[in-house]
Amino acid sequence: MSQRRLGAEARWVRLARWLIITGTVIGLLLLPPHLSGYRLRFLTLLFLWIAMASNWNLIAGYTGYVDFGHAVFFGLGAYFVGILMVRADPAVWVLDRLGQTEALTLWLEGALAGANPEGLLATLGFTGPGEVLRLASFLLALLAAGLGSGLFALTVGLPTLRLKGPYFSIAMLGTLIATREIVRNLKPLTGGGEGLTFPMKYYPEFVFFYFMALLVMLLSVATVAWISRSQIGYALRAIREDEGAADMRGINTTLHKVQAFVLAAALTGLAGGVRGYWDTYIEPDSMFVEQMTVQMVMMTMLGGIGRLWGPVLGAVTLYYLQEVVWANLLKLHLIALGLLLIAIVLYLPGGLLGLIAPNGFTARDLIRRWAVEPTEEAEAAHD
Amino acid sequence: MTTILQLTLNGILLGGFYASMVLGFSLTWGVMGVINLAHGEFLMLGAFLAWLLFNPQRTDVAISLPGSEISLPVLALAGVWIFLALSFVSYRFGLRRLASRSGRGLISLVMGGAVTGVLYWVWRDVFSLAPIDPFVSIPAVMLVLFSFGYLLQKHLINRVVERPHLITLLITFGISVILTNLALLVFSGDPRQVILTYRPNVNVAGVTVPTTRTFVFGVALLIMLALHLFLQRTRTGKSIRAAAQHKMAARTVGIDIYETYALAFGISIALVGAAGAMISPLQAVWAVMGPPFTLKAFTITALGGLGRIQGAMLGGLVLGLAESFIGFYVGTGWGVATAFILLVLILILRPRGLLGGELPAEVQ
Repeated sequence: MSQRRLGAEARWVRLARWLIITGTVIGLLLLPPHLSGYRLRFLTLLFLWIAMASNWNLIAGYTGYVDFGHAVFFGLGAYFVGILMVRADPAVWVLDRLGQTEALTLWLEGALAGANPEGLLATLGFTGPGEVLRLASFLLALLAAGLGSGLFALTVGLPTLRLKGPYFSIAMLGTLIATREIVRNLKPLTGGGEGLTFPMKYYPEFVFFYFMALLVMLLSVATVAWISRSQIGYALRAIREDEGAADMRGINTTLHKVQAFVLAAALTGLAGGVRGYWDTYIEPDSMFVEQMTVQMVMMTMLGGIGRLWGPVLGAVTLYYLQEVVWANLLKLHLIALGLLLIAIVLYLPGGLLGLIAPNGFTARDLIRRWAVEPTEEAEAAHD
Repeated sequence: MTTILQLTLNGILLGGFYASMVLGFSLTWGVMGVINLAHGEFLMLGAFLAWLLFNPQRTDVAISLPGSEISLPVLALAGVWIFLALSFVSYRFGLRRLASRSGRGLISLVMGGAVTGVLYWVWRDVFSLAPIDPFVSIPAVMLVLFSFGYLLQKHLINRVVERPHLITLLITFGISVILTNLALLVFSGDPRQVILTYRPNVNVAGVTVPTTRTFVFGVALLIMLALHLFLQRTRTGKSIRAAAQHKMAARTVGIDIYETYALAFGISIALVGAAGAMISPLQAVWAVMGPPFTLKAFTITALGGLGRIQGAMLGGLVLGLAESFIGFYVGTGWGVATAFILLVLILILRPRGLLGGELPAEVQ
């Protein structure tokens, strides 16, 4: 196969890849009306898991800093949203500062009165101005959750990212456990062990959470995709392979590590925020759980660690397996998860992607493996 | 003044326990570079075993599988464990020269069964199934956990011990998930407690000396002394230290590294099992008690430096005192947070530990 031919094939593969991705996204956007509530919930959770696994992959897979406490950012995101929405109403607060609350409420009432009852807002369950404000509050709180988690990651990451290997892992596990205890003890702010209940006055239709989760997932995957192709991605991989050498080559290791960590944390915070509002009740024991990190680790390892599509594939496979096969084996489920983790580590270190496409979805690799039976001549030329 | 004395005493007693709890963790880390994330879960197993032997009459412990409820008498569970452990130990240590390779397994099973039978008979007929005090059941707990740890290292962890840290961390993480959930399955999520009868505390000059905690402290010191003597005086102990110091050199002089690793891991798990048995009268025993202990073990190891008993004692004391004082002046819920803050501080300020460890910590 000549070089020119391969270039043409590569263009086709690239085009096909874009078509598949765009098609999937459009499909997912149009899907909700055709699905039952159960399937919708399943997909929503799946999106959140894909997002979280991708984020974990960013810090652990690309950078090589194995974060055993990543669930802390999920919990923090939920708590940021919870505290803001319970203790304050961010949208109303902002509007009050601007002196625009009444004007906007009136305008909204007028606008909603003339709105199509079948329109988007109505579908999502927003029919009155109060509910729209509520939505705005949630979005502001979610933004704050992302920023807050990122900021927390910055303060925790600056010291802990200096630690290497297992030290970092355990320090993060410690962060998770300690944060749970701190949240439990800060009763006036977080509600302590009794948890926080979100105001139920306006609660959107479920589809809303579907779209939010989809958004968070797309954001996460797109961020990882962007990073893996950008200079930061190369820097991160260099850090993973040999931090000292990367430093010697003039890579600002601290900056890049912290960048990756903060991004991963902020995106996980968004996922936590969506989940928190959806659950309407959060407590330390359900939001800061080690088991959540286990899931992220498992999904990433199963799909293929350090690969863009690894966590996505892993999350889909594992979550589907869990839902279908292990729904009946509730108690054995986590034991099976642990066994699976050990089995993957021992026998499938590259994950499923390592089986399907060990060298990535490049044109050359895909063509060689799947499309064309390579002739001896082509093999020789390739080698 | 009395308050401060009291808090200091509590801290020291707690510190002694922590020191003995952390020995195993420090040993595996120092000898084979494996950070055992399932450390706390092995402590939980030890505590549960002690609880089982303390409550022989309890029949409410059941293995509940989906669809069916198989109720197992508690004793059968503990008995099977002890039987297997005895067989294993006699297989490993007693029968090298006694029988051919093929016959060894059977003989050891018979021996294990015989010893378990005699022990059970003595317990049933002489002591009429009296609750076994956790301090008395420590040897049994250590035996069971030693066998468990030895086999785990021999057949699982030795396969990955040469690979990057991530792999061993993930393996031990997997083990911890499995153990926690097995315990949830067998013992349910209810907290259990071992209630000892010798509760009365001694009052010395206004300071209350808690009896059980003092016992724990004493046994912890004994265990530390025993480990010290074992590592310094015996052949196996020396080979463990040699493997820790220089793997290749140890191999060159004819030490079977992997066998040594397995022994070291078994000993480490036995030690933490003993700590679990000791802690069972002092706190609720339940399936999810492990992770804080893993975190504390890590903190103490980071505080005291790797692979020395003095380091473990110092780190344990510092953490014990800090927890005792912060628990009193700030709030009891802050213990774990204390451990974590201490950990981060020490990793940043003195990455080689307070004493300066022999093995450099991999910290910049």
